[in-house]
Parts: sequence; C-alpha cells; structure tokens
Amino acid sequence: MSNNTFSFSRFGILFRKHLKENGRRYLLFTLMLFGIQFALQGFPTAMGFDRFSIMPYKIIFLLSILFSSTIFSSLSYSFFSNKAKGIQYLQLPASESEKILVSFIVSQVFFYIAFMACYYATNSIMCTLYNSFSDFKAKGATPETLKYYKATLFDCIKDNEGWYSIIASFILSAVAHFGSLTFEKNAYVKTSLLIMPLAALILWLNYTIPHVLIGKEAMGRGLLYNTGVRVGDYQLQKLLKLPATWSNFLSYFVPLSLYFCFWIASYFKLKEKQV
Amino acid sequence: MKKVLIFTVYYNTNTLLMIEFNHVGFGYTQKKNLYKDLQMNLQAGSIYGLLGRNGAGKSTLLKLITGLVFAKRGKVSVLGDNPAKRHPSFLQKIFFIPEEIDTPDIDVLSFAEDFKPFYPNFDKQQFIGLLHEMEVPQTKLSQMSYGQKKKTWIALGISANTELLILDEPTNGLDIPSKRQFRKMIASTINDNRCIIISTHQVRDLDSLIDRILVVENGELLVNSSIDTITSKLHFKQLKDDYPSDNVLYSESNLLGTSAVLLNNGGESAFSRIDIELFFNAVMANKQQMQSLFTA
Repeated sequence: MSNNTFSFSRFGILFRKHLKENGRRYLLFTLMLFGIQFALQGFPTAMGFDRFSIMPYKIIFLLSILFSSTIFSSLSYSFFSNKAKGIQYLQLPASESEKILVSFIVSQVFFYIAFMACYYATNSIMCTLYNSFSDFKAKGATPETLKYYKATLFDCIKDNEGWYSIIASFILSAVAHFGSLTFEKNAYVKTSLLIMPLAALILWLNYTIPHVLIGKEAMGRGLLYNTGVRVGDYQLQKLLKLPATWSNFLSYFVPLSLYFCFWIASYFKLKEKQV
Repeated sequence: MKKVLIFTVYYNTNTLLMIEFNHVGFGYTQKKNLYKDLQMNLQAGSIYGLLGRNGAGKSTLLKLITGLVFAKRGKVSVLGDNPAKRHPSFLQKIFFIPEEIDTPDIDVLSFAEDFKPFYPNFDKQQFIGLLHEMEVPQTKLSQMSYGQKKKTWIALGISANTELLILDEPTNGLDIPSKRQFRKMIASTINDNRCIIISTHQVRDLDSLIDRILVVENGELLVNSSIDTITSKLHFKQLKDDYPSDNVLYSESNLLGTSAVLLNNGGESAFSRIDIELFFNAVMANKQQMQSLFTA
C-alpha cells in the first residue's frame, strides 16, 4: 500500500467496491439502452413499406451512440453534487490514477460492450421480425430482387459512417467525462453549451486560417481538402497532397490526441478537485 | 555509507505533533479570505473539541486537515504529509466523518468489508462489537434510519483505527442514549498515537470527553488549549449577588442565579469544573484577552 501512484491490488479493491455499489445502476442503464434501441429501431421496422433501407438504422445508430455515450460519461462524477458522496470518494485511500482507471473502464469498455450488445441484439430482432412478417410479394419483390427487400443487419464496425461515429463518440465521451468533473450540476448541458461554440470556432478557424496562409485564389473553387490543396482556379492545375503515410498518421493521430488529452485533463482535474 | 534518518517530531512534553499549520491562508473566493494567517499545532493523544459559531470556519479547517480543500498560502502538514496531495499512504491514516453522510444500498457488513482493505488497521470484530453496542441492526443500510446510518459511520471510523479521526457534528441525529455511548466509545479509543478532533455545536455532548479545546472565529484561532490549562487560568463559578465584579470575565443569568467565568488569580480554590458552553461564550465576549491567554 506504500505506492502512491498506482497499485494493481488497490485498483482491484476499488473496482470491486465500485461495481458493488453501482452495479444495479449500470444494469438498469443497460436495460434502458435496450428498451430505447428497441423502440427506436421498431419504428422504421414497422413502417417499412417498400424496399428495405439500412439508412434509418444507420441514423439511429449514429445518434444513439453519440447521445448515450456522452450522457453516460457525463454522469460519471454526478455524485459530487452530493457533498457527502464527494467527500467519501476523495477520502478513499486510493490514488487518482486508480480512480480514473475505474471510470475509464466503466465508460470506455463496459459501456461500449453493453451498447454494442444492445444494438446488435435489437437489430437482429428487428431484421428477424421484418423478414418474418413482411409480405415481400405485395411489395413487388421477385425471386431475383428479393435480397433488396429483405432486412440485413447493420454492421456498424464495417460501415464507414458507423465506424466514424464510434470514433466520434469515444472522443465526445472523453469530453463529457471531463465535463462531469468540471461541473457538479447539469454537467451534460453545461459541457454541451461550452463545447458547441468551441467546436464551431475550431471549424471556422480550420476554414479561415488555411485560406489566409495559402490564399483562397490558390484553391480550386476556394475549396479546401483535409489533407491536400487543389491548386488552380476553375481549371485544375495541380493537386498538392500530403504523402499517404502522413494522411494515415494524421487520421489516427488527431482523434487519438484529442481523446487522450481529455483523459489526461480529467486526471489532473480530479487531482485538483476540492469540495 | 547510506544514512537513514528517522524523523519524529515532538511537541512540548514528548507528545507527537500530528497537525501543523504554518501561516496558512485560505478563502473560497479570491477576494474574501476565511483564514489569513493561521498558526496551529495539534498533538497526538488528545481529543480536541472544535468550537465556533456558524460560518466561523470549523468545517473548512477540517477540510484543510483532510485535503478536501487546499491552502492558498502557507503550509499544512498532517502526519508529516501534505494533505492536498491526497496520497493513499496518507489517506489510510486518517478517517473523516462529515456532518452529512451518505451510504450505498448494501448490507452493513458488506459495507465494512469494502472499506477494510483500504485501512490496514481495520478491525472487523471491533466494528461488529460497536454496532452491537449502539444497537444498530445488521441489515441493509437503505433500511436504516439516519441515526443508525450515522452510528454505522462512527463505528466504521473508530474501527478503522487510523491515527487521526475527525468527526464533524457526530452527534447530530443521535438519540440521547447513543450520545452517551458515543462519548464512551470515543474515550475508550484514544491512545498516545491517536488524535481525535470533534467539531460540534452541541457542547454538552463533549462534556467529560475532550481534553483540549479549539475555538475559531472569523478565520482566527482564539483558543488552542488543554482543559487543565483553561481551568488553571480561569474559574467557573455560580455567583451570589454581592460578589465583586472586578475579576469577572463573563457572566450570564440563569435559573440558578449567575454563572460566571473569572480570572483565576490564585485566590480561588485551586481548580473548578469547566462549563464548555460558558467558556465558549466568555471567549466570544473577550476575544483578544482569551486569544492571548490560550494560543501561546
């Protein structure tokens, strides 16, 4: 117990204590996730008139993962609004790194496992229901075109938009987690109110600064690309692009940096937390 | 040659110095300072009664000791550590029971079992014994009354056997027999290596329990003294109407006549029994004089 930075045994004890005290709450949250997914996905399933479209399921996935992951993370330290609970938490003989790791595992591992399980389970149920009860003949399906009418599972990991929304939800949940340590009450609302104008400002700067640096006239139709610059007015003259290895590196480096920045910020916020 | 130095700080008469405040300043806002230049030393082997009016800074003082708030200026040292760092090795040596308590929805024994690994000297048998003594049922915490939950926390704090035990308004919510049991339990738990601080407005609950008194007012420490020192310097007496008032520091009328605090100039018969409430009122009425008498 003399290690003040991190001890696996202490972490284990802390994690067990956390699950014992919050396990029921997490179970209820998972059931709620399942219920919401069932209701949301049930709507397009029941309304499917013509050919099967995966788009509504994609939109439901995107919105539900973004909202549920951020709401869940923003509740991580909601107990600080109760002074007694806050004092009890800060006085527990465990280091901040152990305490942060507990909320990391809960919000970044357990949550995603629960969410994916709920999503795939409800999506499978919906596909089965759709395929069992849908009158494909009445919809105009022929044996050759039947596959376009049949419901198929939305694989969010293989789908590009699905994958990007998972990455975005990881970053936003790290932000929400930081917000829950910063604001004791209404953390979700306050973090959102702060993040939205900040994100708009970053987008604006991202658009304006390259225009100032490179010059709008140098870009084809004034357009800017993520990893390259199209040189020439209406007539494309040159396309300056970052090397492929750079592009790949940046596409991982930027989201990962943002993600870890917020987790490191959370660690220091917890270290400096006063009640 | 490797030198190993073992430091043990002793204060006055071979008593272990537990808490040291050195020119400490603290305020919840930048503009308003609650504590400006607090100097304070607390020793092991004592039960301190922390007294003060509402908003005087009692709870803040306890939070500074436990590292729940950080000093803006000066140095706070508790058990040789900086409490603001909240090192696990430090936290396992202190136990703080705040005024408002909260308990999870689990069984009382399971609750203790979860705390046990965090406190090396935790004694589960002692915990069960204390629950039994205070007639706390061994059920789920959610099925208990507020008073029973408070007793559970007190039992937990005592059984943790930490070097420093801090209780903020511990008797709030306790029934009359429990208050007596509380005094008995606290008195039996003190030893030369342990320090207990009790902050309360219910001064009668501290009768015959505390051996040192701390009084804070407007961010200043007015009194840090043992009961013996107080009773050697002051005399607590029930006055008759014709008593000369020159020597009287403070007096108040009650059903029995007039209770007074007098300066003990040796003329009075040796020691008198302290009336904590009367003493506190006397301090509030004679701040500077009392500060010079009892913070040296």
